[in-house]
Amino acid sequence: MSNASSLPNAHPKIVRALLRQIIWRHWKNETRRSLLLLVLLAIGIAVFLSIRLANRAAVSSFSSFAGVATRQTDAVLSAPMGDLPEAILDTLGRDLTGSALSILPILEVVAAPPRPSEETTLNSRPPFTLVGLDLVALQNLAARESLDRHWFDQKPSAPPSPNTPSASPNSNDLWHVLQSPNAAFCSENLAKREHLSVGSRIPLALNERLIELEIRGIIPERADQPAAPTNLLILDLPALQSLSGKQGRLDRIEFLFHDSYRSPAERDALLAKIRAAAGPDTSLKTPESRRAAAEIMTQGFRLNLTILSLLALLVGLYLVFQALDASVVRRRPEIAILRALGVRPVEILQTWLLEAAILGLLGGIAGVLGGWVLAQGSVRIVSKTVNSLYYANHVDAASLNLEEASAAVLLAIAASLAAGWFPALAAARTPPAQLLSHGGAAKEPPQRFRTGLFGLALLLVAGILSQLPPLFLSGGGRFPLAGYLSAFLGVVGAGLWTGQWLRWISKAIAPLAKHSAFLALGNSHLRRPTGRHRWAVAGLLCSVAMTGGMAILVSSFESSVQTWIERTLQADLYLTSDANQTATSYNRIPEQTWRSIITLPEVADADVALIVPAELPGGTIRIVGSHLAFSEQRHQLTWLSEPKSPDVFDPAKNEALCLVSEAFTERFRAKIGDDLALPTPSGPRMLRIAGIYTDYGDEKGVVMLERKHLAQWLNTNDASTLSLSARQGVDPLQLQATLRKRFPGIAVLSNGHLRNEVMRIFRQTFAITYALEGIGVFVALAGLGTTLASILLERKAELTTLRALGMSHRQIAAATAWEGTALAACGTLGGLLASLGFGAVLIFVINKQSFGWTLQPIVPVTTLVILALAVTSCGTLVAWIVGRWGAALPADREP
Amino acid sequence: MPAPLFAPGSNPLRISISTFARSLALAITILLSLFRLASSAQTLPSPPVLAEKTDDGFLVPHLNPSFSFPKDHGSHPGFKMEWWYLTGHLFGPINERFGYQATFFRRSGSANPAPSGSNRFRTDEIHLFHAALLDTRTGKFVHAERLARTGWESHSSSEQLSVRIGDASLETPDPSIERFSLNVRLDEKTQFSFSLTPSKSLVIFGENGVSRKGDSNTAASWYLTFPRLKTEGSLKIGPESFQIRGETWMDHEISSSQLTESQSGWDWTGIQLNDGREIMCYRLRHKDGTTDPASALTWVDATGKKSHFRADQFRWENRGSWSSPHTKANYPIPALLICPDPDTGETIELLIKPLAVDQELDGKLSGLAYWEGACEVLRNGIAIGSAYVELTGYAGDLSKRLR
Repeated sequence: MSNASSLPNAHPKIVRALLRQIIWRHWKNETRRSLLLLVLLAIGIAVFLSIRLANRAAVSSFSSFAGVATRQTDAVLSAPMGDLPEAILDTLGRDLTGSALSILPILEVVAAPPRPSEETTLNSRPPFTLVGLDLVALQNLAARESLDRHWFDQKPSAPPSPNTPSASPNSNDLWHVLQSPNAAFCSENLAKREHLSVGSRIPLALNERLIELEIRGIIPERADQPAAPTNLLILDLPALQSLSGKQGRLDRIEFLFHDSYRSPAERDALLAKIRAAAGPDTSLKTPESRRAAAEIMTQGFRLNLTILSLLALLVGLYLVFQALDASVVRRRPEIAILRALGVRPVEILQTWLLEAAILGLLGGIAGVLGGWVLAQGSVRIVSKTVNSLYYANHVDAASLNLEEASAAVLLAIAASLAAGWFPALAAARTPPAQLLSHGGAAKEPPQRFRTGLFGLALLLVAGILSQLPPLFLSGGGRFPLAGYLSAFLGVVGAGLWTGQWLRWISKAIAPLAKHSAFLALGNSHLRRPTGRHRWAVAGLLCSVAMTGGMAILVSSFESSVQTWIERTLQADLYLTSDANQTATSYNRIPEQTWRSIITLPEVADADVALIVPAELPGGTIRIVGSHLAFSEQRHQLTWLSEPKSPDVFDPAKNEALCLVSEAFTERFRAKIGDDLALPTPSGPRMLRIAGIYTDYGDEKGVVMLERKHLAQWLNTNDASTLSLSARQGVDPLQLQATLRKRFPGIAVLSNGHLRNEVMRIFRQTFAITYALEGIGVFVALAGLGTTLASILLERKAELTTLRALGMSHRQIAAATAWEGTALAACGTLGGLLASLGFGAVLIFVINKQSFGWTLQPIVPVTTLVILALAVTSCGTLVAWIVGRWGAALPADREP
Repeated sequence: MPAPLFAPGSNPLRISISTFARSLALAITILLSLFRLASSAQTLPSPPVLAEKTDDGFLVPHLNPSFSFPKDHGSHPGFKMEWWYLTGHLFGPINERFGYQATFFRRSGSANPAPSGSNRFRTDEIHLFHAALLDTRTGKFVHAERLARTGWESHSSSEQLSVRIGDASLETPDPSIERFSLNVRLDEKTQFSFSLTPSKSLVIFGENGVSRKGDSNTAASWYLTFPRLKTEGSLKIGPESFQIRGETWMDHEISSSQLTESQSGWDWTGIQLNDGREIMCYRLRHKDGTTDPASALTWVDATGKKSHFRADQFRWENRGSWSSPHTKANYPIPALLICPDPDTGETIELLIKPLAVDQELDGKLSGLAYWEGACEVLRNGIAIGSAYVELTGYAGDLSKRLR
């Protein structure tokens, strides 16, 4: 047979005529099937795009909130650990006099709505970001902007709702706002959503207290700026300092360069001047570098999500491939006639590829629309995950991005072309009608390689890849590229290799087949499996392997985390600020409050921890100050490398010692005995790593040290969390109720509740994966049905003969059902075996490299058996239905 | 077109006046009007005895104050408002001529003497700064305004004259010497730094050391003026730098009183004559176009002796008008001042002619646009002195802001 691609160029006129006469007619006649195909491709693209858009929205929400009130600032000064003393403004004001810039001191804290009376889940309340700005100084900038309103003297909207008491006309001027302890400005979106107006009150949990903010107006906006985020509340800086107990402290200082500093050299000179004025214990970043840091922080997470979304596209493509292949089979007689009429293979090839491209284009466009719709849902999931893992953000909608949309359409076309390549080649290879009538079409194209061997080779490569280290991203992120490739190639390799098993199954069944005509018939086809048989097996194998592998990962995860929390969660009650609803909420309990709690007669003992984020050269980590000896006595730490000397537990000797989590060692490639420099507000401190422990609660890395020293360096005796043990005879739940009543701003969790919540949050992380796996299995089963239908279509002549020989429809259906069952069983069995390997790669490579967690592998036998039985029986059912349909096919040769 | 200070590129026509802006405008208006009304006490029929405090608890200036300097050049926190107002005429090495204005306002939001808010972000006091520079060679007029709360960004000392708002400051370098230093950066290209030394002693306006403002028992101020400060220093405009010399007029006024609605605006001038004498004159305008009887004209002779004239003893006549392309306001300039000369007793006519017509401060931050400009003073076509003229209430109804 001639090679289509080596033929001279196709005639465009002929290709156009073919498109119109063959393809278009086919689409028109089979509208529903064509639409289904389009929808399948669109779903794949939509899932992929929605995840991309959601990622983008979640990352873009990490921008300077101050940018809402001003234009985007040019530099941001902060402390690598802790906050900035406002006294630094004196130095900056003096040293930067005459420089054309505005200095904007900012305090930013996270607060949460107060808990409802019957709250059961953690992290379920979307937090508010409270930004403290100097509202007086802000007027200098506001006066020069085209804002939609003024900051002060805003009037209540009329008519006020029953919940919004109207403010008296003179109570909202500059002085009243400045001298109010709780005046706040909200976004227009929040005002609309919550029916807020001037005078409305918003209750919030902040640190250990419940506070109430009074809305004094809507944040003025510029038409050319994005709208203020819904969860943003702006307060006058000293008011927020006072409310949050951060008197004299600033979160950061932003700088707005005036227009004369526009050349990079001038900007750099100004940055250097600021750096010199601010001193060595601060960190100066441009907004670009800050956003890049946020992107880097979530890069691993986003890449993982993208990979998962690509899986959805892959299964979509698998179906497109099946469907295009089926259409070639159905139209083979037509193609043969065309060939007999002189249409060249290259023209056939181009026509079918064009069909694939058009399908890709239409599917891509539909996918973009669907993806945008889906993104509105997935953005909340992504935003929630980013919230609990990385930083406070609150995104309600993901906007359609032209770049992403074009990329998705191009991807759809490319993917559709790739999926359509083999069917198009098959179409081009169709012999002319005169040859077809002599049985020329039934032959498989010659195999260029041994599929089974190729599959084994892929498995070998997968094995080698699984041993490679992750990609280390700048900013401390890691991405297990080799791990993903290993998993992908491993599953594909297993799929190709397993195709060989059909022959073996056929042989094994042969003795039984002697007694049954339908079994013998079905078995005969398995003896000579076609490429389609192998694809069906590979498709099922992939989905079963991935679902099974994920089940193994999840069980191992669950089991390891369960063991870990049983070991570490020993106290009866856990307390933290009720405002800490995200990973970046660092609300604290003041010393006076926590001392009054731990000295209650019902409390036997307590551990007090102080947690602060710290910016190391390799990325942001968490510093936990705790009483190490207490933690050790309570066996709260599970060691990976136990400390060799007890010094680390002795506050008198452990000032220069620390313990680090496993994730820290993975991320910073550190080991026991290494030294790390901590950039504390009182200068850098060198700490030696004395031990490594496991911590499934954090994948960025934790450095644990004695609270006494940390408190001294940070000059605070506040606490981030308390863990209490109730005195003997005291009911912890009773104590919990007492504490909740007495401290409404403090979240008091019982041991059991916290354990359940930890597990729930872990499961929530996998929710999106489960959905994708479910789609995978469904698509693979659909693929099995399409494959069998194509096979039966090709065997139409044979079916006619069989019916003529007296075989009943039921028997033909049973033969097909057996054939399908064998395919399903083969795919499932191979899938189960492959899932062990896939699970191992997930646990030991992808998880370890992404999160730095060691998990004890567990195989969930029951789940896997149920999966296997479900897939096989569904496969049999699908095959039976297709068999009944095939048996009823008309006997003529016309399509 | 003046270059804005912080956010270049914004459209001035889109700035509307909010109530906040109006309240600021009110403050400025009151300050300006107090300043201009300083010597009107003589025209008022026996005002009532002064109260000790205003209704909102601020101090009211008392009679026969015993000022102590340099302390009383500084701020007076118990009072609601206070300002240091400088206008001057400057000359470069080859007589390049400039005019400048620099005003530092202090406004208190609480009569409670204990500061509120944090030390660096006070919630009870703000400072406002207005400045402008005219380059008569090109007619280019640059102006700026800046608002800051008392704290790290702005401050006024109660020990001596030391007031700072952002980059702008008016200081006493050595408290034992009566000399001040003024530093102003209008924008990235325009800045000046002057040393100001009194060449004429301080004038205290009002009877018994108190300048009465109306028939209210709180409407009064302490009003201290240096009519001539020898001015030396450097001036930078774009790539050009000048060593300059010239004369500055500086007012310092302390008050807590509020004005009631009585006028639609006023015209004011401070004239430094070449013979060593000064004239301060203001015309308060009623809504119906008539002149308020409280309008006044005061001569200060070379020795500092004051001669007062009532509203019916002088005339302020318009001799043209200029329409602002920025605010569309029509300002009556040039003006003709017809008044008696106390030295000769004859009535003289002084034509006050602007050195450039576009000397309007658009008031984007304060919401109050006004014309404050350098002028020359001509008698019979001969230049006999320099003046600064202030024209308010022409860009919108000022009386509304006074309520």
